[in-house]
Amino acid sequence: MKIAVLSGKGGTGKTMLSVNLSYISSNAYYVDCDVEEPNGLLFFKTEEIDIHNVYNKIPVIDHDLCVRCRKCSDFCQFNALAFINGKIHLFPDLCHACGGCSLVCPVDAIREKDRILGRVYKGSYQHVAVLSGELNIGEQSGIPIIKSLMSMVEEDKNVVIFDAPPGNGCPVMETISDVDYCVLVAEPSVFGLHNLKMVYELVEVFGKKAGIVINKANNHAMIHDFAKAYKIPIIGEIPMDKEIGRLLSEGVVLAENEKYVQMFQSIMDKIDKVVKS
Amino acid sequence: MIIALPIESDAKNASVSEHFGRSPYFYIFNSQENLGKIYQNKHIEEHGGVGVKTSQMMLDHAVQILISPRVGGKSLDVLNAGGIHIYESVKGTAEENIKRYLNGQLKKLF
Repeated sequence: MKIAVLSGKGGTGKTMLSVNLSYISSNAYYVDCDVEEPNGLLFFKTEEIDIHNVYNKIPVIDHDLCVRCRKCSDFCQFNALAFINGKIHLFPDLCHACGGCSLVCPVDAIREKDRILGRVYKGSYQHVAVLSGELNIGEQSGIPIIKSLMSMVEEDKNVVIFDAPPGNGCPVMETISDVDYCVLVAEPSVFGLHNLKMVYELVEVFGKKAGIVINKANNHAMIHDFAKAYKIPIIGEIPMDKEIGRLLSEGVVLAENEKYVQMFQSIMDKIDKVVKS
Repeated sequence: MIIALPIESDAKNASVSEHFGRSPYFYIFNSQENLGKIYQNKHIEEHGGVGVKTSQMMLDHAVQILISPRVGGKSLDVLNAGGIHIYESVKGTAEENIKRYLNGQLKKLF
């Protein structure tokens, strides 16, 4: 069973919920797909970590072979190639690694080389297998890192929790593309509701089963009204609570404390029922 | 000397644009021939790297002097590599700015 946890607005509680849902499962992966600001490892303090670089391909131009036809720079949709003083120049951070320039070159003057985009981490926290990735600062797209994380998920576990990036852009689409269920974490604020609507639209487009978990639940009629209007089930509420806030600020996995287990277990049970139906 | 300026419209007395890369038009003036022409910037709707393409357009027109309020980092890389000198424009039309440049009244940016 693959579950994505998303919210639209940042700071709503995606990581808190993802970490705890994976912790209460006896056999789960936790996958932090927020590769621009990964923070799952703040909770899952893994001791031994395997680190691998993630690469993409950028063109290397052989200026001796180049016939200065400019087909490559004309072709590039990302404007990563410029023709300056009779020489093709590359702007690596604009390059999307599509490989088109080397295809259109009539004299095979372009080959490709690896460029490091970021890293992926693999470790474990007690019984949870933890995967996390990090995009290098200044890079345009974290998709290759997310794809790399996806490829590291093996069939050996029965639950996979994907902690999605905020927003509803390409990285979120990549994260939810293959999941069975989307948990929409909502925060009862005007901003929170607005972004909840945005991610719900995305989940609709992808035709995914979804349910809402209200976090920091207090004065949350607005979320209930929205859920009712759009017929989205509310599968859990996590109260606005000082003690929870304090534990989270210390990087504590709430479900390690017996008194919080049921709160997350009941969410998991509801998801399980819907996915298996 | 070939001088280029980003301008806001294709009118003869158009003001200098506030941007370089996404400026809708350019006025390119050849001081030897005392002849100026207006060119449309076809790259302004593109998603990214517009500065690179616009700078490429400057190089392709053999521009030597660019008069602009500012330029972005990637534009600067291309313009520098192409040996184009950049001067800071003042509010007003392209013609006024060219006159000021020729009289040595504009500040060199790069």
